[in-house]
Amino acid sequence: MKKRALILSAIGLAATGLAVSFAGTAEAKEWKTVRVGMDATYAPFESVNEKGEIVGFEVDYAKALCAHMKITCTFQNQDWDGIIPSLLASKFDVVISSMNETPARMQKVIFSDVYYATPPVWMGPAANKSDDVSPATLKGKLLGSQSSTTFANYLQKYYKDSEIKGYPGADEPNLDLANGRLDYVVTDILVAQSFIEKSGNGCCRIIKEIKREPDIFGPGVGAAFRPDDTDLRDMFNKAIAALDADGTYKKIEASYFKIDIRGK
Amino acid sequence: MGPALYDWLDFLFNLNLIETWGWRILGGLRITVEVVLISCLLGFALAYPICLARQSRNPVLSKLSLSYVTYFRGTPLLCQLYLVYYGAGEIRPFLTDLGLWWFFREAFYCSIFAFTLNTAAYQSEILRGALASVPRGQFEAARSLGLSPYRIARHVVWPQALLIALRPLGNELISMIKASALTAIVTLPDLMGITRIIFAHSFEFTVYLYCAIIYLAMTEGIRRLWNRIERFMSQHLALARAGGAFGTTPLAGTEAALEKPIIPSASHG
Repeated sequence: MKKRALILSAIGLAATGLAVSFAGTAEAKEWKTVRVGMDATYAPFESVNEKGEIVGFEVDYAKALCAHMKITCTFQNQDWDGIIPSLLASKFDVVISSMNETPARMQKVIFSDVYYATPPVWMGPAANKSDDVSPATLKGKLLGSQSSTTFANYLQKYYKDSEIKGYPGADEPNLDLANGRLDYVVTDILVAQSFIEKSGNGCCRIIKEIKREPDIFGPGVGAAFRPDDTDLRDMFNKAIAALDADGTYKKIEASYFKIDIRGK
Repeated sequence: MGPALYDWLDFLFNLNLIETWGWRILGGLRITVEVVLISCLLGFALAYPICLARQSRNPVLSKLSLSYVTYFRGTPLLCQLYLVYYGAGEIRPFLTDLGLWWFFREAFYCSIFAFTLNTAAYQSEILRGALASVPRGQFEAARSLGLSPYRIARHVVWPQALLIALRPLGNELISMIKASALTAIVTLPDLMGITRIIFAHSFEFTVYLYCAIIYLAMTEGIRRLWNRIERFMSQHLALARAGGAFGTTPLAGTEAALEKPIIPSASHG
């Protein structure tokens, strides 16, 4: 009996694997409704407001893109760790969630043209006056970032002698920096600014910008699609170019940021 | 079918993945084992005092322990973990004044703290149930023989109660192993946390499969170990049933226990 139970559970596991390996082969179709997946812990790009709605720059931008393409877009909140698998498993059709176009991700998904590129930064306690963030100085320090991000990859590549902590969302490392569990956080410059202004209570400061290394950070942020959906990707690229040309992008950008985030 | 089967086998036995990340997975496994063992042992140590407090005639003690058990059994462990980890962050100045911040600063200690309190509540209820199922006559008989309270507990009550508690305690250990995967959410690189990190780097779904197999191996191992311990602890019962191979006198004490089945059905959770 026990042997049979073991064999059955092994079959169960194998079947899960089989189902996963065959998922994500979508057939070509007419795009009328497009489901957008995003991890809404990344203010001001996407976050959940008091009413429970997903709001932010990328929400407005995605709505403008969809209006231009004359398609209906719906938005889904999705944990960052599972965002690429969920896209591949057709839980939604496109990821518009500040996803940097890295070489590793390009092996699994295809990207639209870059629609913004902002520098990553080191954020530290306000009391920390030193701008030295070399791996030697940060040896043994506690560094944090959202896990499965380019920030986490950057830390893991260069700061092997520090203690690196990965968080499920982008909010949590900022909170842990504010309450002293972390010595440094690596995040996006605008996310850091938004946190310091809105909820940081002057706890923290931006210490230094990080140069965008192409291998780790890629050229910038784009929308991600399943490899088969090149038609949808092409639709988005046309819409991105059109919104650049007619000034819609500038208008949405100006309603959120004082600086140019296009990175061109 | 040929190429599909090959792809599938390739997916299942991803040697590249194992070669690159195998050691990291073992590191995560170590943290999982540490968290579970430490919190289950501490929880076991706490469970008996809580169980005594619960049965105490002192209304303050019994009400306090009842609300403790109700709270920790009635709320999600994830919620308790968040309360400890992020709640401690909120009241940091207070904890610093108490000199406790060094403890609550670490995700590892926070996890052990939350898990210990949680499992202590469950284990105390298991012990309480086991003690309650030892027949009253056993106490009375032991007392009439003039045994001291310590010897009654040590030689009469506990051997029977622990045998009854053994199976549910094993189930609790198994459920703690599974629950320990939650620590990944408060940044602890345990088996689950490492799995997520590896997945983020490789995007290979197989790593979750390996993770599941390791958890399964752990829980299955404990189930088997528990079967052995149970067989060992209930040897005397088997002998008594077999007609008392060593004569009846040394085993006489177990006969009252045998009126009721002492081992709850051997099913496992």
